[in-house]
Amino acid sequence: MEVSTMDMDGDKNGDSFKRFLVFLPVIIGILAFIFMLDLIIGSVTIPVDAFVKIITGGQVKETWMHIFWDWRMPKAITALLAGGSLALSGLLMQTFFRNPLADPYILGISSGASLGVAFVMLSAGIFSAGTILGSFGFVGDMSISLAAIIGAFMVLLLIIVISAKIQSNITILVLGIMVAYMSSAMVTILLQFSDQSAMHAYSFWTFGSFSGVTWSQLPIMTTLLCMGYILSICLVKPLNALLLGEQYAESMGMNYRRIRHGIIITTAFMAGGVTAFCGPIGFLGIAIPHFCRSIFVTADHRILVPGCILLGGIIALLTDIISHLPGTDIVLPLNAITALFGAPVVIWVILRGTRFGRGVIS
Amino acid sequence: MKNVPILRCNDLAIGYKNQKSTLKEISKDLNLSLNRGELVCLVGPNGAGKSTLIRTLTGIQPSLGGEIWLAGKNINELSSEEKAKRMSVVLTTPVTTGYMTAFDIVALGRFPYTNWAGRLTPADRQVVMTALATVGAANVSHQYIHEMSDGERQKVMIARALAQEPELMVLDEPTAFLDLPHKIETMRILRHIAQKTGKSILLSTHDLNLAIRCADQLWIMNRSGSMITGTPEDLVISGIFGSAFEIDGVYFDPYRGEFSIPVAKRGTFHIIGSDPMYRLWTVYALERIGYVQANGADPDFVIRIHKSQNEAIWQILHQNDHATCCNIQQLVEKISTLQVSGGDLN
Amino acid sequence: MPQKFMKKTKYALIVSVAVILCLSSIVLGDSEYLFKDKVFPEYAKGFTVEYHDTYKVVNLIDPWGRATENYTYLLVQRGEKIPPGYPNARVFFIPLQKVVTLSTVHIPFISTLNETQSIVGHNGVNLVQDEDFCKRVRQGDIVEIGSGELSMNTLLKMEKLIELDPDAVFCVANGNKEYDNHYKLQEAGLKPVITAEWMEESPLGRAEWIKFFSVFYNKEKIANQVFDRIKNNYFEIKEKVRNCSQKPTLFSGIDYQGSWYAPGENSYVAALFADAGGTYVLGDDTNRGDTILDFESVYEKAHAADYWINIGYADNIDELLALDQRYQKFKAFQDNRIYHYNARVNEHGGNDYWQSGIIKPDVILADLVKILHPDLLPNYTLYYYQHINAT
Repeated sequence: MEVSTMDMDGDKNGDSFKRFLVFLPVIIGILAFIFMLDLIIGSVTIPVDAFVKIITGGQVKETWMHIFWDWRMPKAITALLAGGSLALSGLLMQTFFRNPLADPYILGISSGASLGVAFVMLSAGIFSAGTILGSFGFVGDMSISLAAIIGAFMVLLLIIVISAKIQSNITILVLGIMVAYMSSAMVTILLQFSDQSAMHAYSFWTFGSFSGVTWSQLPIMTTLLCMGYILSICLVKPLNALLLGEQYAESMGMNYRRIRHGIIITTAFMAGGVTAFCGPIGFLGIAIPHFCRSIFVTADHRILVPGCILLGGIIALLTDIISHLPGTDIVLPLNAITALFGAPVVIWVILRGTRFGRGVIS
Repeated sequence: MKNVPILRCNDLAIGYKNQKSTLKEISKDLNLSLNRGELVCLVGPNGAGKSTLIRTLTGIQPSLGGEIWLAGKNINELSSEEKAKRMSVVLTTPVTTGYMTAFDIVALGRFPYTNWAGRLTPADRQVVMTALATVGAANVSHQYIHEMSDGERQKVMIARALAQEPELMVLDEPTAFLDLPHKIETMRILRHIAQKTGKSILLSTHDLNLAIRCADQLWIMNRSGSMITGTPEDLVISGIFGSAFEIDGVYFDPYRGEFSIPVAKRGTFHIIGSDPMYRLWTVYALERIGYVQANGADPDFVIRIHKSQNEAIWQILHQNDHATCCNIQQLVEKISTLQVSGGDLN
Repeated sequence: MPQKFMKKTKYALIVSVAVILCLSSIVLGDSEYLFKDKVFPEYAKGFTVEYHDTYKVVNLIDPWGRATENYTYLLVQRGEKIPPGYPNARVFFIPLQKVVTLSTVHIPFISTLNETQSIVGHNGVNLVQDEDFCKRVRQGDIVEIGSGELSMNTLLKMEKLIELDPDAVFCVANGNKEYDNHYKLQEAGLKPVITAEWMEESPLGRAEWIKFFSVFYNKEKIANQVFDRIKNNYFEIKEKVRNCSQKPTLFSGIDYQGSWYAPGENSYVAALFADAGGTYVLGDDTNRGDTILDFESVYEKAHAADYWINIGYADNIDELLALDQRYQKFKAFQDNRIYHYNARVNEHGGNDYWQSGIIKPDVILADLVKILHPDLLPNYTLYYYQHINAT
């Protein structure tokens, strides 16, 4: 399958890029197909000819129209964008920390978001934070997402301030882990003092779901995530330079401080954005970049960045389809399905690494 | 313009600085200069501060005082990109990236010249291939770097630094983990680059034998942090080189151009033979077991080498006995049994 | 002299006869005298009672058929000997004088039997709404022995519990060793009594557990009276509805991050809906228990339902919409016909629906009938339920 053009310059990477361009339409085609599948499959069986009518604007049973436009469509768009964002932010973190097991939440951004959500959901009895936010004029179901974004933003601020003063990446890593622990400790305390229904509400939020995003929330989520996409594309060259490590990257003319901030902010937008609207969804961020690297056989971010966006979308849509167990009414928690997909990939990465005798290779 | 040194430092002080004020100064008042087309080897015992100096000169570590001038400009006034176009590095940090071919790695060297997406123009590609050819790695350009041997990988890293088209290349212990043939090859490549392309090269190394043969200038850094510079041959002849590196029992032989391995002296000998190669290696063998040439004084025994067309015979003459050996191993064995004070050859 | 003697003998005779009669009744211990009133569960399936002369045998039956979860309680009248033949039974001496309750639902049962003074400790005193109980808490007669949470993982203050030295500790069990308290209680030397009224499928069956409690206090008479009254009320209301031809449709619950928990067709919630003359659209005939539905299939089934009863953990319309804007699409929302059982919630979150509501299924039924068929009960005002205003 490998078109080994051993021409004079032996540019295998250039070949990789050309090969990627050739496969691009195929991948986009698969993405479109799976997107449609996610629209078609659901717990309510809608016949295919009804779909045609819905899309072409014909006359169809009203409930089906509503289900399609208000439930299936936003869910599919959310899955598409969330999958790409998680995969991308995972890729960024893996390259930045030169750690193949890094995930998008390693900086503690998602923990900050969870804390924000916990605060709103669990302390409502004490402070009625939800109504406070409501009094600022924020539309109904934004209050939880907004709290998550604020929480993520605070953590981002903390990390940026510290990273401006500290050189070492390990310090930032440890900081992220500490933030995660502290947030989870505070959430535990909040859980201790909350009543049962609030606790249930919070724990359901942690299961993660693409179904909770409505049309009113979609524009904000799309904006956040697309900003992340654009920033990632701008970071392609420095990311490639970072493959050799920060010292080499600096010696090649990269402004490490600036790029580091750029990577952190981009990750925050994407990981924080997804967590805010879908809850903390795990495994996709670790697994998909590796999947991408193996399929395209490259470490070049010019291929991996668009690759992760597309592949992330495809895999996320697949997990959504599976979690809705087509043919039945039952819904499985999203995080369970992503783990079923992601865990084998992670194990495979580790085992494959040992074959080369060098431990894990990114 | 040609006479302006590519690298110059004034009263440079190097060392470590902790957050507050705890300073560890390793060296100060360094006034060094490196000219174009020169290959300079930075040598010195372990812990003298060679790595610190390299890191300070390349900007990885801040200096504690003084100035560094790169191609006539103060290094602090250069932007990252300008600096990258003038100086490239080869470091000791291992590259552990998967799925990168040699070509990809070398292509990264074009970083300061490519557009925002890092796209390679045909001219860029040409530079990359030329760099690979210069280091002799053109035939492995398609191989993945994690599948290469250490020697090949090192060549690729040098090619990358070369592709960056700098005026100065700085290498931190580039020959450290290579076997001897590869060490020599690396030095050969570097010399070739310096001579053919006119680039300047600064490298730190522990391989003193190679350093004094290949370097145009030696920078010797000793434990107290002070620096002595000069042409290797001058430094050897003046004895500075030898004294910088002598430790107990190990000394530098300026006649042989190498460090001698001390052995306890057991006796003296005199050697007669016309073939210089046979003479040389017989002398080495005897020195190894503790016998030195008797210059003028009465030797303990005499060795005579008879070399005919395809074979040689060694004859040992001791007091009034003599013995014959057909190779150096026998010779050594015979002599080892010999007692200096009244022994027997048979 | 003989007159005085006659008087004395008469006196002595009367006294001795009286004494003999009393003694004999005590010594013979006829069950006719000891346990005059008896209870027998008609609707409740979780327990049975056997009466003997000096003791009662109460069997708890696990509705899910797990043998390990069947318990036998041997209730022996104080002063009597423990009868042989019940090796696995837990022995209690009745009537109970000091008890600790771990669930808020126990309070109304005990309170109705006028035995609130027997409670010396409770888990979550802030949540209880019973007036007498609250007074006793303020006086210090009832002690908090838990963390006051409603969660499964309630932390009990074991030392305080042991110090109180109760005759019995009423608790709930799931058959799960990690969460169930009664294993820990037994290890500590306490005497747990498991109540399983929440497993009953019929509303009357749940209320009938007052009979279970009465057995421990020898208060069967009150239990019978109370339950008969509840039963009659319930059937009276049910009868009113039966002649109605119109049965409005209704659904209940909310979405939990993509999963909608709907009470099953055979659950006690569905039974109440049916008895109140409503058509519950989310029930699944094949499934015995609750089902988890996808939001979109709930929408399909319930978008045109007339009433929305129970909105989960949302308390008002703002909170409901804050969870998801799409709730507006339901006809019940648009017609402003949403009702929730949070009319009687105290400031600590304790909901009386889950307390006195358990022994007042007739009131709950009346509430539902008032909602669904308001003309049938013109003079009745909602008690546990309230209208959630969507405008």
